[in-house]
Formats: sequence, structure tokens, C-alpha cells
Amino acid sequence: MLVITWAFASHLAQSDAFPGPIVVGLKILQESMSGELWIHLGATFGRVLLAFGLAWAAGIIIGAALGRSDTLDLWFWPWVNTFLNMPALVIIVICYLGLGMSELAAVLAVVINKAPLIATNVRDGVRQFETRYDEFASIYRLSWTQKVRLIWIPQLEPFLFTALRTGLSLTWKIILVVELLGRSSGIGFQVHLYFQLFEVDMILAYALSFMIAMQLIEVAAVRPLERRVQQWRKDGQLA
Amino acid sequence: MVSWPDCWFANQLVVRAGSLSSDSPVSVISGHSGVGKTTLLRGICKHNESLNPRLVFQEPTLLPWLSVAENLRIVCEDEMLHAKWLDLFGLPEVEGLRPGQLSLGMQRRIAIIRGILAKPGLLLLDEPSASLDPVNVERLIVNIQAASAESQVPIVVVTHNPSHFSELDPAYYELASRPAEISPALR
Repeated sequence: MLVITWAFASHLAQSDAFPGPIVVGLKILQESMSGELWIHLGATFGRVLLAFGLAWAAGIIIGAALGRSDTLDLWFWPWVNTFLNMPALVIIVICYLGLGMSELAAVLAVVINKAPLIATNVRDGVRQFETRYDEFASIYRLSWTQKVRLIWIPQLEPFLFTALRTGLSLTWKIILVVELLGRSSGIGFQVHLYFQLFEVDMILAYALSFMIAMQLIEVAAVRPLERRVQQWRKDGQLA
Repeated sequence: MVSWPDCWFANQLVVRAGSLSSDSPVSVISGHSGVGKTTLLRGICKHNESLNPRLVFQEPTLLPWLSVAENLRIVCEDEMLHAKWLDLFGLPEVEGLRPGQLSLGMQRRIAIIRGILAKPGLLLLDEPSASLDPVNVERLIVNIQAASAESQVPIVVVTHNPSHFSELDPAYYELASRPAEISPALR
């Protein structure tokens, strides 16, 4: 339906600035046959996974600490909130200026951008933990690893999935800006290149191929995993 | 003998220090809602750590994301023992189900099994018959009787309805006044 609407609108526009799905599809095919698409898709994909993985780990640790300790929350929440509201572009520019136009700076910029959002999600999740499970863990003398594995992570799952979804989508958008400003590979770099050449069909071809890749991850990995780990939430309706 | 010091909740003295002196395998402590029964059980738990007490909560507190078998495995790895107790409690073929797929009565009985499998020196049951229909109360009483006989673990029950437990031939106590004090009760 979306593709038909796009084709129709493009046909009406009759402009090089708004190519239709067939033109863009052919460009995707052409770039994938030449191998260029896979090189840049791989570069962006690697950065997304690395940056998001680090942001997720840092966000979970910070969020869990702030959620469990009022003292830590009192001291460090204002910092998390500050970074949460800091424009992504400012952080990217500061990282590039401080560390040079390097891969480290690119990934770090994304981690600093995204970790506060994940930390906020996790902090809210930890604050909603049911105290009765903690009491059970204390009375039945569960070990720390048992508490984390059996009690805390399952209660955090909805918040982790929200963080995964919003975090992933925002991460790849920021990665594109990071690549556009200071990398020589990746979808963002290609978008920048074809922007200078005013080749809108190539810009759309690269952007669309990455959006399709992210959708595939959602359908093939995130959604089945979510369904599997949250199956128990439907039990109340079955009993 | 089970004893406890003054029990506080939210900076208020709720239950005065006391003890249960009976040799009966089952003690039933009655009291109206809000008198401090649950606070007393927490106090007993905290003060008698050497007895390795296990509290079975009024809300069964089985972990809803785990199956019955996984819930029992938290406290005991021996699956033969799981099967033995589930059988004894008349709960066969529930190992693969999750708590949300079971009735409240079944969840309570499984929570009692989990308490027993944790090898306690004292088992504390918080309002085990609350919100159960007469049939489920009857099943529960039969199960508590079996648990007491088979495990030889002293059991303390707090309830606002002591008549439910008369078949267990327990020692009765009453928790009354404010702050609450315990005293033997005749039935």
C-alpha cells in the first residue's frame, strides 16, 4: 500500500527530486550487485551494533544503580537528565573535536547520546519492581545471581524491550549523522556523497536499504524474542 | 520454642515481644485484619534465623514467568522430591504450567510445597485460607496435615478465620489489642 502510494505520488510529481519505487529499487539492485551497498551497509550496521550494545550495557548498569539507590539517584539523576536533553549534534561535534575524526569518537558519541535514554527506561523499570519478590528472595536466601536472573531481569523485560526498540531506531538515525559529519564509510557517508551530487534516487536507495535491514531485524529477531520471553503475561487470560 | 522481640512497622510498635510455647506441631494464631499478623510472621522470621524459617506469603509469590517445576527448582534441585510432594498434594501434571495458568488455591498449595522443599526448621503460613472457596479450603487443610506429618516441620499459621483449621488439632493463640499481644486461646 505504501509502495503504491509512493509510486502514485512520484508519478504525479514528475520530478528528479522525488523518484518512484521502481527507480529506487533498480538503484538498490545496481549497488548491491556492485558490492558497494554491502560495504556501507555493513559499516553502518557494525557501528549500530557496537554503539547500541555499549549504550545498552552502560544504560542498564546506570539505570539499575539509580533505580535501586535513592542516594545515587539524588546525586546522578540530574547528570543523566542533562545528557538526556543534550542535542545529539552537540555531543557528536564535541566527540570529534576532542578525539579526532576517529571510529572511537563516532561510537562514543552515539553511546553518550543513547545511554541516558536506556538508563531512564531501566531506572523506571527498577522502581516498579514488586517488593514481595524481593522479600521472597531474602527469606528464601536466594543468591545475588539468582536474584538478578530470576527476579530482576524478568521484571525488567518490558522496559528492556522498549529500550531496545526506541534505542535501536534512534541509534541508527544518529549513526547516520555521525557518518555524515566525519566518517568515510557507511550509509550516512553515502547519503552525504549523493547529496553533494544531488542524486536523490541514490540517497533513497541507501536509506531505504538500511530501513529494510532494520525492519528485518525487528521481524526476525526482536519480535519473536519478545513473544517468547513475555508469553507468561498472557497466562492470566488463559487461567 | 518460637519467640520474637517487639515488632515494628513504619516506626510504630505493632506487636509486643512474645513466644509460642506449645509442643503441638501446628500452631494457629488468629486476629482480626490489620492487627499485625503479617508483621508478627516477619518478626518471627527475622528473630529465628537459626531455625531456618520459611514464610509462605498470603499472595503465593510464585514467580509468574517460571513454570511450577522451575519455581520449585529455585529451592530444591531434586525433581523426584518435586514429584513426590506434588503427588502428595494432589497436584500431578502441573510441573510444566506457569502460576498464571493455575487457580489461586493451587498456587497457594504449590507455594507451601516450595516452602517445605526449602528444608525449613519452621514453616510460617500467612492467611493460607483467605479468598478460597470451601472446597479449596478443605483441600488445603488436608495438604497442611500431610505436610506436617511427612516433613515433621513445625507449622505456624496466622489467620482471621481459625475455625478453618480445627481438623489440624492445633494449639490456638490470639493476637489482640494495640500494640498487639499474643495469648493462648481456647477452642
